[in-house]
Amino acid sequence: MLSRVAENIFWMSRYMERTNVQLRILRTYYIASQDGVPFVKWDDVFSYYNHGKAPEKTMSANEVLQFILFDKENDSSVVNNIFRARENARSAQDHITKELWQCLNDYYHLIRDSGLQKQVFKGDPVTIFDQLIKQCMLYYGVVDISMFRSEGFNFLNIGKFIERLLQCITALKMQISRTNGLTIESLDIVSWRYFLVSISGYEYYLKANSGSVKADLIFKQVLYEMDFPHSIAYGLHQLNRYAQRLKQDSLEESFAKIEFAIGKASAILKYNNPGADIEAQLALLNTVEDNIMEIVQALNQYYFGISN
Amino acid sequence: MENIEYFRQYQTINGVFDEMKVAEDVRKHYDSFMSAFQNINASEMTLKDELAKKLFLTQGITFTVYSSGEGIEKIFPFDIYPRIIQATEWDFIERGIKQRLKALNIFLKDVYHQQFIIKDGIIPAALIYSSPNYLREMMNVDVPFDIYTHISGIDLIRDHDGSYYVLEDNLRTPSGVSYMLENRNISYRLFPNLIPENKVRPVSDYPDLLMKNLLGLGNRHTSRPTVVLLTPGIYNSAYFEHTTLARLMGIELVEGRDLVVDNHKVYMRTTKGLKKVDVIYRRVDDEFLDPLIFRPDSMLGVPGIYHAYRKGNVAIVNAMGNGVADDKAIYAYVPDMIKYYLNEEPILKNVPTYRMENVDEREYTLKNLNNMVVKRTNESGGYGMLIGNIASDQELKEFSEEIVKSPRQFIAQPIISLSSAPCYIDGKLQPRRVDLRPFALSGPDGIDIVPGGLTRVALKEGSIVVNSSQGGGSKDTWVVD
Repeated sequence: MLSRVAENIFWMSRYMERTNVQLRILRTYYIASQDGVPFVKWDDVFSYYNHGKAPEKTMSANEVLQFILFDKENDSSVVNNIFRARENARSAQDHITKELWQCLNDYYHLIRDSGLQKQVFKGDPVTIFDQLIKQCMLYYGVVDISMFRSEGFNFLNIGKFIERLLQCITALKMQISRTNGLTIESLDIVSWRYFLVSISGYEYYLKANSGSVKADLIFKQVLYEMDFPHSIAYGLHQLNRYAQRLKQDSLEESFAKIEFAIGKASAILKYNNPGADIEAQLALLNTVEDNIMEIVQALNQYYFGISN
Repeated sequence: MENIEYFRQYQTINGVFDEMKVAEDVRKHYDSFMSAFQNINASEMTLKDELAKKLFLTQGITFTVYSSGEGIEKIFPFDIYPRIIQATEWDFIERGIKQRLKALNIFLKDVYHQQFIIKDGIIPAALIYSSPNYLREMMNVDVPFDIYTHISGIDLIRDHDGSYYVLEDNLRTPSGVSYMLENRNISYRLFPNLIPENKVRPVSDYPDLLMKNLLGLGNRHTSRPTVVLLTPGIYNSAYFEHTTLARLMGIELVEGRDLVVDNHKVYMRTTKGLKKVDVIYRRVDDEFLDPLIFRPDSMLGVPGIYHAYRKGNVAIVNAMGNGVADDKAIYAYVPDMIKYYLNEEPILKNVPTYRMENVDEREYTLKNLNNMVVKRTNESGGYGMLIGNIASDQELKEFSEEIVKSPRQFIAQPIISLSSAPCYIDGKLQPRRVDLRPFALSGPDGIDIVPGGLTRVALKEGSIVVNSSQGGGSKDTWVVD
């Protein structure tokens, strides 16, 4: 397929996955704030979405949510993510199905709906999150049911898992830094519990580790559990799976580069055991993250025709 | 019929041919639809109207206006009441268009080769050479099967006596076919079963017919030539049409930056390296096609594509240089072309056209400007036009001055009262002026014309400008037996 179109589909998928993960994390964060837990600091959340710049004045939860969800001036806002996903899909319309295009179009119109936006201040923000997350689920369903399993589908999934990996690594690093990797204080336990909920991992954790919330066990789940769809091991495994499918449609040299980069990231994950040492944990996460960026660079150079 | 509420309320315009109503009765080919229509009450009709708008929006049948980097979707205005044409009339139109296109194709071949029509004094050489769309670069360039106008849209109107006139020929990058296809899809959602009951001729064959013609132009010894659709990109207002056609034909939608010319062959950049392209259906205008030959500031084209085309290594649809044949001044000579090349009388009439370069015709026009339509010979979209009977004194004065200053840039025609057709507006059927754009496909096996085409409607009351860029909309067009 056209390099430009492959890149468009890749980025459409990345923006949609980013939207999905961020909405879930924000939803959990908001609910945690309603529970009154003190680790929720909305100014920090604002800074994160504002390139590290703190707000000029203290903002309420609703104001921060308005900024993150609907503010078009905010480059990192959810509305801009949806907009970019849609624009990328628009450029690749002949390689996605009509249903998928309509789904993204519907999402675009939904998030621009002023009735929805009013609910941030006058209604229930959780309802907004639920509606937006539901639309993400619809997108995933449409992709699964309607997209033909050709090259476009492979780039879509590669983009999805790369984004998921990057988002989960970032979330985990922040969580470790926030709690120093500990679960001694009850607040830490609450914090880790909410973290698991935000990445849809709490129910899985309870089944395997009922009764106790321990940071090192959570760390292991998020890094190594193959049955947990948000784990890094699962993400790399899926990334490799879809990359392998590209082989028949790739130049040998191009495929070799991608295969090498993915293999390297997987090996680093597999053959490093940081234990309970949080510096080592963070170092490992940083290294895996850097290697995932190398995969992206290889895709840019050898598939999308973007020189460095 | 007098007892039907919608019909009773419907008032035709004096002196204008109405597509549906004659005297106090419904024309026979509208009878069946009108009977079904009258069973739907006003609130149901409003729901249908809203459904149509919703379907257009959710399915993305829009055109995009970009503002501040964000695409603002505008629904292409659609009137739910179809325009209906009798099959016998359609057969007449079809024959007329085929004849006209045959002559125009021969004209293009002639004017870019031996130029017999000039040498025999039928068309003045100055008229050809002064057309800005006449491309000297196309002189003696052979095109596959001598077909220049693979895809054309011939705009037709009806005068007060019901006779059809060709308003203009669109031979470069005619648009609207995707709306024709989508209008039909919307119609069967709005009026279930009425299309098969009325035995409406289908339009859905268009993409297959076009694809067949495009494949026929590939000259490599390969079982399946590579066909692409070249689009200016997502910022072009017709981008929806480009994506629709590419999807329906199963071909790649490419932009200029996806293509590269190497050794006078065209390739597209793919994830598996360069892949040769055999046929390009381009929706990029001539002047933007090759920055090495035409506009050097063009970001939409492909450097070197002209030479690849000249060498016969790639087929381009429509051919370059067709603009000389749909120049409005040369339009006046199409009946002469038919007589000259085909030795036949034209089946479809031209609107009487006065060339401003001709002194007598110019003087007559300037004396009667408030009864004329004046058009720039190389504009489209309804821009650059003067409609004499509604123009202000200032506009009349300005146009007069422009005509005298550069007469070659203008033609004038008497104001034709476009026919009207019923439109469902504000809960009532109201007459609005319409034209018709049938789409014709010319290929190695001959000319195919999709039954009906796009009916464009001037939705503003009293307006005769049907172009979408100026408030026009469209209707589904039914050809019925």
